Amino acid sequence: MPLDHRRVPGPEESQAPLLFVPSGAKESEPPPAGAAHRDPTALQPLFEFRRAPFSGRGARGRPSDREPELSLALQEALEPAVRLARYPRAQVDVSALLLQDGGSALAAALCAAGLALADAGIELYDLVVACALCRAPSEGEWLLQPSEPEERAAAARLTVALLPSLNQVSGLLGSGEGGPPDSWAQAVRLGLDGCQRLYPLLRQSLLRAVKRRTADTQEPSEREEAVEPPVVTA
Amino acid sequence: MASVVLSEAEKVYIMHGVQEDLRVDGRGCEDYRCIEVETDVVSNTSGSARVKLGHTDILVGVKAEMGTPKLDRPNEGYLEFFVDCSANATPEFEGRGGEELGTEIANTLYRIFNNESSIDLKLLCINPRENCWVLYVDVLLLECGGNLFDAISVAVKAALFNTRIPKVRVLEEEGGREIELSDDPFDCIRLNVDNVPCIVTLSKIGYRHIVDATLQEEACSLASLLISVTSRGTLTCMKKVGRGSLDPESIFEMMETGKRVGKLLHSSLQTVLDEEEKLGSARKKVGFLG
Amino acid sequence: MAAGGFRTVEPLEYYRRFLKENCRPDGRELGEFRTTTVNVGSITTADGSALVKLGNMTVICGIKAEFAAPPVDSSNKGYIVPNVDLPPLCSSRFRPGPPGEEAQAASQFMADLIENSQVVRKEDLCIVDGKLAWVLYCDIICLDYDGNLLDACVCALLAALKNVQLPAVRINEETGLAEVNLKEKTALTVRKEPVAASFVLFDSLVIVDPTAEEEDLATGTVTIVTDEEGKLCSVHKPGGSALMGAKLQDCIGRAKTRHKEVKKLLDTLIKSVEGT
Repeated sequence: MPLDHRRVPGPEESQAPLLFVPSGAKESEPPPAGAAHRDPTALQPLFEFRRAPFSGRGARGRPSDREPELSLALQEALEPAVRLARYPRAQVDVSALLLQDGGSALAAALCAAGLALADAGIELYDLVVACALCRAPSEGEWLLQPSEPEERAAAARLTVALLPSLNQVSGLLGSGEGGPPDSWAQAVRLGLDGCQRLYPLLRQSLLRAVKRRTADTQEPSEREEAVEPPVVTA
Repeated sequence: MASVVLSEAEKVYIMHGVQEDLRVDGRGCEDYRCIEVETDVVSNTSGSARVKLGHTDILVGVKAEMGTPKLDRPNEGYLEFFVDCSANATPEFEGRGGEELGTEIANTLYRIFNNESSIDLKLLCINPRENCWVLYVDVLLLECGGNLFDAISVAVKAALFNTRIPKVRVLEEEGGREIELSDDPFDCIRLNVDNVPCIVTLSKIGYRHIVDATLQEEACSLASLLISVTSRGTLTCMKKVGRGSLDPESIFEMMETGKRVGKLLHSSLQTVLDEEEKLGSARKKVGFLG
Repeated sequence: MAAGGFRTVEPLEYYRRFLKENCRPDGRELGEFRTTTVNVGSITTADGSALVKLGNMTVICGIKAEFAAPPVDSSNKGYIVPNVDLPPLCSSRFRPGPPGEEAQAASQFMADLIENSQVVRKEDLCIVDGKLAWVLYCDIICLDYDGNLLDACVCALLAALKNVQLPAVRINEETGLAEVNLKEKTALTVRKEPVAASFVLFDSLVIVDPTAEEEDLATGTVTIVTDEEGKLCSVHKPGGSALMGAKLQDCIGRAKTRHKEVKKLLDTLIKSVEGT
C-alpha cells in the first residue's frame, strides 16, 4: 500500500472479527430495524457513489473498493432522465453517500439521487425510481427490496431503475448464479412493478417538500401584513 | 471509450440498414464478424490467447502464482483481473486516458466470474488458509474496433482453457508443511471452462437490436444491454450500458436473442479450441505474424 | 430585503452592527452555543456510532473494530485511527478527491487529542501481548458543514466511543487462532471525557461556537479541550490575530462550563440508551 500522508495511518493489515466466529456458533440475525439512514445529495464531477467506511457489515471498507462500478451505474441510470441539453457549459454534480448498508443500497441511492435532482430544480424528463431484487439460493424465488442478510445469502442480485411515466428502463445491473432468461425476465417484471408502486410515494414526498418551501417563503410576508395594520393605527 | 464521429446522414444510413436486417458490412442483425482465436501465444504465461474480432484485437495472458487464500474463503483460490488499455489501440488511451475504461472492463469481468459455477475455485486451493493459486488474468487491448466486451470475454475463456497450472504436493514435516513442485512439467491441472460465460452485447439501434456492433454502429446506439451467457444458455449477468434508456419489452427480446446467439458463440468457440488442442505441439504458431 | 443586501455586500460591517449590541444575526448571545443534539447507536453496521448536531453543523462518527498485530515497538498496545472526512456534499467549499487541508488538520487534531487526553488507553485494546490487538477505526464524516468542526468532531467521537461494544475474544489453544463470541459483548473503557469549546476572535471580542460565516469573517480561532476534572487536554490556536492572556483565561472558564453542559447531555443520553 502506498504511504498516504493525508489520512491517519493505521496498521498495515487488520481483520474483521466476524471472520473468527467459530462456524458452529452462527449468529442469529437481528430483525431488520426500520429504515436505514442514507443520505445522498450534492457535488462532484458528474456522478459519485461513496460508502462510509463503517457502512458495511464485517471488514471496514477501504476507499474505492467497489465504488467506481456503482458510480458508473448511478451515472448510467440517471443520465437518461436529466435534460442535459438544457445546461450547456454547466456541470450537474450528483454524489451519494451510503451511511449504512441495510440492503438494496444502489436502488435507494438511485431513488434518492433522482429526488435530489428534482428537488434541486434540475429539468428532468422523468423521475428515476429504482428497485432491488435478489434470488434466494434454494427455492429460486425473487425477493423485492431485500434486506442486507437476504442480499448476502442470495444466489443472484439485480437492480432495476425505471422512468415511470415514460415506461423506460434507465438502469439495469445484476449478476449471480446462472438462471434461464425467463427467470431474469420475471425478475425485471417484478422490479418494474415494484418501481411503479414506489412512484406515488416519491411524488408525494416531492410535493410535500415543495409545499413546505412555499409555506416558508410566504409566511414572513403574511406575518408582516398581519402586523402592519395595528402599527398604522397606532 | 474509443469512438468515431458520424454525420447525421451516415447515422440514418446505418439505422435504415439495421431496420432492413442488412448492415453496412453485409451482416444480419444477429451475426458476428469473423472471429480469429489462437491460444498459447505468449510462452512465459500459464495460458494465453489472442482474439481478433474485425478490427478489435485482444491479447489475454493468465499467470498462476502462489498466494494466500482470502480470509472469508479459506478453501479457495481466486482470480484477479487487470485490463490494460494500450495507447497503441487509440490515441485516447494515452497517459491515464484508458484507466477508466480499464477499471470498467475489469469490474465487469469480476462481476461475471463472481459466482460459484463459472470456475471451480476449490481446485486452486493448495493448503486451506495458507496457500492457494491466484490466477492473474491480464487483458491487453491492442486495437479497438467495437464490441470490446464480447471479444475480451471470448479471449479470457480461451486463455483459461489454455491455462496449465503445475501440480504441487504438500509434504507434512515436523516444524511445518513444505510444498513440492512436481518434476514432470507436463503434470499439471487444467481448468474446466464449460461454465465460463461469454458476454453478448446487444446494441439498440432504431427499433431493432444488433449483436457485435462495429465502432460506427456503436456511435448510432444510445443504449445497449450487456448479458453474460453460459454454454447451456443460462444468464449470469446483465447490465445496461450507455446513456440512453430501454423499453421493457425490448429488454425481454434482447435477453432471448442474447441466449440464442450466446449458445452458438460458445459451441463454435469450443470446436475451434478443441481442434487447435488436437494439433498438439505440431501446430504452427501464427502469433503476431498473421 | 435591504438587510439581506447589506449582509451580502458588507458582511463584516453587518456583523459589527450586531456585535455592538452584544448579539449575533442568528439571535444568539456572544457566549452562547447553538442547540446541541446527540444521537448514539444509529448505525448498526458500526461497532459504535454517534450523530452530533450543533445547529446546522452535522457530523456522524462510526467506529469499526478490527484485529491486527500490535506495533513492534510497543507490543502491549492497540490502535485508534481517527479520520475526519469532509465530502463535497457537506459544503460547496470542499472538492472531491483525497482529504483536503482542513480535513487533514482535523484528523491530526483528533489523533493528538486521543493521544494526549488518554480518552481510551491503547493498552486496554491489547488482547494478547505481542500477538493480537484491537484497531478502532473512528471515521468522522461531516454531513452538513456550518462551522465549528472540531467541537462537533470531539463530541461525536466521545459519544461514539461510549457506544462501542466489543465482542469477547479468546485464543483457541489448538489452532492458535482467535475465536470471537458475538453474544458476549462488553463496553469499551472510556477513561477520560474530553469536550472541546471553540472561539473566534472578532476585533477585540471573543465569540463562542462560530458558524461557517463567522469563521470566514473572524481573524483567528482558539479551541480548548478540557476533561471532566477541568484539566486542559489541548489548547489549539492555529495562527490568526493575537489574544490577551486574560481573554484566554476567560475562554478556559467558558470551556469548563461547556464541559458540564455536554457531560450532562451525554450522561442523560447514555442512561436513556441503557434503559431501553
